[in-house]
Amino acid sequence: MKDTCMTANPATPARAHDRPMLELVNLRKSFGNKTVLHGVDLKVPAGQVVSIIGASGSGKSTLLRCVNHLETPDAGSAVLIDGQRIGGPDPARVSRRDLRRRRVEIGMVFQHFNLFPNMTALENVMEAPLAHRRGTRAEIRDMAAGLLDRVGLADRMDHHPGKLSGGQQQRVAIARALAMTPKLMLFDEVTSALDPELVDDVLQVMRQLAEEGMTMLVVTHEMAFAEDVGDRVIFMADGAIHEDGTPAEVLRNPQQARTRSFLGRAMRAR
Amino acid sequence: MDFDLSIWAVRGPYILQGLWLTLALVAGVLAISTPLALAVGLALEARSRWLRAPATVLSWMVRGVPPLIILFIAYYVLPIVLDLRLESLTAAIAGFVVYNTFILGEVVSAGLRAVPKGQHEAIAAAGLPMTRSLRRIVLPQAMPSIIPPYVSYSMDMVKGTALAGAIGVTELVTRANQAIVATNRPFEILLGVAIIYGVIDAMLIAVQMWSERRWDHQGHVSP
Repeated sequence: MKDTCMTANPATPARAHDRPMLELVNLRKSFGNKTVLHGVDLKVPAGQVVSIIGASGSGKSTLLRCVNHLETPDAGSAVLIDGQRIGGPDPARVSRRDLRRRRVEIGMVFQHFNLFPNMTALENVMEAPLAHRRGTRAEIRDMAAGLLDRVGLADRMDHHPGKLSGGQQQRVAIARALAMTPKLMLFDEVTSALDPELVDDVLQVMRQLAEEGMTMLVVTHEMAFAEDVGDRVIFMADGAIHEDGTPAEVLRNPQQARTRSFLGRAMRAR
Repeated sequence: MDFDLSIWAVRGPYILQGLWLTLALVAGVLAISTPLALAVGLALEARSRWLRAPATVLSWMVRGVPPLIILFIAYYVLPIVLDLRLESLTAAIAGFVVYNTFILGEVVSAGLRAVPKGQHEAIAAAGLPMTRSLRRIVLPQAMPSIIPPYVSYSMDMVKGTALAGAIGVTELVTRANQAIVATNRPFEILLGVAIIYGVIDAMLIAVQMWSERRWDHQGHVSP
């Protein structure tokens, strides 16, 4: 098992092809004088489910947000999706049009859902495919209805987000992110804002996605999910990857004192 | 003091001609300044400093000048600079449009700021085009914050149109004043004028209530 702060080989073999679905090269990010990511390298093969764990402020959410450039990585960093680099040597100079095109390949689900409150669940899911002209309105409607059915919300399609529970909203958000048939899905603490009884439905949808072979990067505090569903667990601290391995290796037999300390606290909090 | 509203039977038609001029002025100014205010509001919130800086400076300058001075500039200075003769009504519309564009631009800007950051992140993450997402997602959510101050400033503007009399527009108050001078019946005439302004304000409040229902607090757009 790797216990370095930098290069992380996949803990499980690539399922689909040799080229990683996601590759981060020397990913650095600073906010003013504060460096949040210290040159992270990471390769994620297609179909792998990577759980990212760590304390608040460890840089895990920033890492995720740098993947689709919601946070612009510092110069010298590189994000490659399916072998294609986003932008040039300076990530800040990527054109907005190019960025939009690349973001379509990456689905993202947020902690607070961020559904569009003025649209129904169905309209939320239809919006991106309509904007990107992925078919006729009827085709897109059918596809969106199918996705909502898949996340168990066939009977809530015409509801506005305000009329849905947190768990239902999060499942709509997952369906919305899937609507553009992304190559990679990012999940940013998607169960943290939910009441405990609503968490399982969301995790079940994510479990199903993982079984279907979706490449997933999951920032989570759900250790059981990381252990049961994840192929790989990464422990981050101080803006760097401190441990990287299979769930059994990282969660059951951590090599570093910091990982053990974090896991101890996390288990006590459950 | 005798109180005789029959003065309106004699002077009413003349005064009410001023009302139509007032309403035309309000409608013209709002029709032109509303889309311009949207552009100014967007410029004030733009990421590009080349849009944001001039919009901010212009807004600060225009809002700092009394509207009467802007009317005088439109009526006296513009014809000299542009070498053309402006009718007083045209000059009044131009002056009020400039003033209201920046006043309402700030209202739009504040409304856009009220849309949660997470919405912008969801738009960005989905790679949605800016114009479409503005029209379909951002503005519908900004409307509940925009409508009340927009109507409030519009009501101020309705009353402020009386200033146009200073550059020769014979609007409602100007004609009322002429009628007072001619009849020495200030109380009856001003009471009538106040009621007319009250009715216009009530109509604007009705528009506000209808608009607020259309865009309720959650940003739902009713069918």
